[in-house]
Amino acid sequence: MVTDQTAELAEAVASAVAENRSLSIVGHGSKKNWQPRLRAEPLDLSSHSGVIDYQPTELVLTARSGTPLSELNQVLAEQGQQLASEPPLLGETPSQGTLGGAVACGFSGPARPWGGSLRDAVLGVELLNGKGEVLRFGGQVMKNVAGYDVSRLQAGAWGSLGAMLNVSVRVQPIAAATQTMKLTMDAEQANALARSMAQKHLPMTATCWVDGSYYLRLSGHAGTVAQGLEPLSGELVDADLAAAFWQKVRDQQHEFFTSTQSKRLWRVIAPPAAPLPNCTEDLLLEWQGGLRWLRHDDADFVQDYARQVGGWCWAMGEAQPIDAAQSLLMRRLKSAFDPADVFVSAFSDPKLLGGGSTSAD
Amino acid sequence: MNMPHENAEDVLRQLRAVLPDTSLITDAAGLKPYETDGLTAIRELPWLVVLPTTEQQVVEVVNICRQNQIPIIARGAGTGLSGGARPHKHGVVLGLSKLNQILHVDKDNGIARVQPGVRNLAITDAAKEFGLYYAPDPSSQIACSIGGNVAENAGGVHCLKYGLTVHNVLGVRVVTSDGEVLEIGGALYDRPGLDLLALLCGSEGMLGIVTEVTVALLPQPQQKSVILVGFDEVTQAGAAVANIIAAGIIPAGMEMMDKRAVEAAEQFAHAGYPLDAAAILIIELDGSDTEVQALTTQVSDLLRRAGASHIECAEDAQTQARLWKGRKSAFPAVGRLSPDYLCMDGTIPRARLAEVLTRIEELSSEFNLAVANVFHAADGNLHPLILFDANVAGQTEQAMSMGARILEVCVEMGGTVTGEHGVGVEKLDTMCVQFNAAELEQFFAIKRAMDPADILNPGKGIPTLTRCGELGGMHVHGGRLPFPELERF
Repeated sequence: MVTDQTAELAEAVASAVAENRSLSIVGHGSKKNWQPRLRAEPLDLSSHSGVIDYQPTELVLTARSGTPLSELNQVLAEQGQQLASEPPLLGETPSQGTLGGAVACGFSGPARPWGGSLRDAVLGVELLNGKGEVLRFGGQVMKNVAGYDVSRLQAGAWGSLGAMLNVSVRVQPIAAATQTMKLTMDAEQANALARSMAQKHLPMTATCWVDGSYYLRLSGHAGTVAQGLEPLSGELVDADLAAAFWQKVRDQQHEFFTSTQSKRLWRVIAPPAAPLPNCTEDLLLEWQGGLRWLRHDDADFVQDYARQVGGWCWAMGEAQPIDAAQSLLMRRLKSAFDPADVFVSAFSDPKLLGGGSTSAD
Repeated sequence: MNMPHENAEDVLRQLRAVLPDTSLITDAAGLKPYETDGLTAIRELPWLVVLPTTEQQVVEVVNICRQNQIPIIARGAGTGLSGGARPHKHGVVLGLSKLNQILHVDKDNGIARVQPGVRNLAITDAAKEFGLYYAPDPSSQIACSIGGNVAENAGGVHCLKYGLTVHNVLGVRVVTSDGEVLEIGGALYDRPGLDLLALLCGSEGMLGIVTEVTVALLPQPQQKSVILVGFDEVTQAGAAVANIIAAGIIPAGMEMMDKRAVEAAEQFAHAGYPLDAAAILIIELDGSDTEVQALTTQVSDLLRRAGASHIECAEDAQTQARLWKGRKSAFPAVGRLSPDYLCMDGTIPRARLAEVLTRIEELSSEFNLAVANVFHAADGNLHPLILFDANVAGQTEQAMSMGARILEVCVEMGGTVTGEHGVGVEKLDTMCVQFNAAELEQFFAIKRAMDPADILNPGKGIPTLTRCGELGGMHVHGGRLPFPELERF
């Protein structure tokens, strides 16, 4: 449904400020498991929906933030295009997940190291800040250095700075050919192979190691894809099965994520070549080693490991680790956008950006 | 020496205590090279120049300046085109040229850690032995520094496929106005918290001073081909660009030049450009051998169907270099046509190109000043070069007014006043066309959050509301009068 709720949303923020109430911005709520529970009245963006402009030859799409990602993917696919970062759909059904939610949470899918992050693709936003003002930053062009990059700052901000009303994103043609190869090897071998592949000009678009198998996806010109896989001695995966596999990895629906619910899920970001942890039965590798999903109950173990390899880790449903000096600046930035502290977000933990109230219960 | 501060002697003593003798310039002759950057029309001698050799010295300089309310103008190689590094007469220019070490080329993680004074091209040179390179290639890449690239979010001719600086920098160390050293990101694809790195890229030295950069390195493509193509009509060239993108092809580079730019470049570089063409395109394709071969055939077909009057495909490096040479020397070549020229930097949706060029032609007649157009056709970034003679009374002002009018056209077409050169001091007025009062105030709020003492490159990048209100021509932006709360005079 195509609707413009700008006036209603601006009014809701203005009255919340006037009445000293807190709001938490929500789309479809598909990523709620990743943030602490927020004690605030929701500001629902899901009806603020619809594609505003899409020019395939400009490689730019502008849509209201409540537009379902599944709808956007459909609109783009009809023109042979896609979001290169493959943002995940984390809801209970594939129709859940909005453009605004995807940008706000900043998750990118399996293609991130090659296709860029969703943040990289953001070209412009219309933002409803904490004063109830509707502001426009960036635009619909690839290159733009007029003013600070407020648009990309919204990516991964979890709604702490304001509500995005619409977002312009750069889109990408879908490759002519895609093939996935499955190789049987341990995690160490997989990461060594990833190193040698990364140093060649190959159209890689995904890697995943899980449970003794390494999956490599190449997408591009058919000849180049075939040439890239030729030296490898794995088996080619049927296209439909491969698409289903990558979708499950992307959406955290693979058995790794769903079957061992007893252990805590960690998202570890590490330098791709860094040593692996010694618990590979609880490990899923993506991004040629740069993203390491871990199932582990010992927080000290995971945090020490992430620190040792020069990365960082984040447990589902908990606060992101931000050092004190950066946290101070982020708090000041939060106030610059939202002086009355009306928006409660995943960053509202006092240890992070302060303000608001959250609860871990 | 210009001594603007009451406690100048004391500040100097403090700076001397933390800097080596060779890192402090106070004499007029030594200050002279720092009086301007690539925007040479605007000059001012700074009070002092400091050239720290360590990050700790940067911290000490920032602390001394903050305690004494002295502006700091960070400077890389001084190649910026918008006056971002223009000195402040009471201020300190903090040159980062002595922080010029490549700290580590890490082929396994596909990154390099470098100090801010390292030249853009030096990174690629250092990575070459591993078959890797650093993708963003602004035309000043021989001279410009990576710290300056971060400050300006520099682009180049390969942006559509390989991105801008913001897409190719994974981490920075930065000294804040509080004198804190932040370590943001690294050899990592994701960072926690608010994206300070995105905010710092393109912030023109107003939010922090970068002391180390982690850049992503990419594997060199196996093969390249370059296609030179001429068209009798500019609209045909525009349509050809759209058709290539519509076919799902993202060329590594796609540049357009109009007739006047072609004539200038041809005289200068003898690149073999067709002089009878209304516009030419230079298209670079890269990938595997088979891919480049297939793409070259496919693109040539599309170009013929778009009505190309001249097509030359170059597979060998020597011919490719010749075809690129004309484009890469377009600015100095145009410089030979005219005593002075002003380079504009708008970005427009590609589909509006023909309309924009027509409007520029009309402005050219109105102001009676010639224009040569050089266009990054792949990403919509347009560089109209306005030819003028500064020795003719009033022509500089005429050229500036005409430039501002061109940028207004870019904004009207849904574009922006600066694609890659930055706002600096040059485009402060045109920023008033693109942003309204609340938006500018949001920028200032960000500046206050990051630099509460307002010492980092003050007065650049974002125009004050008063400045916008005082501008002669008022612009209506999205149906809203831009500065309703200000008095008009």
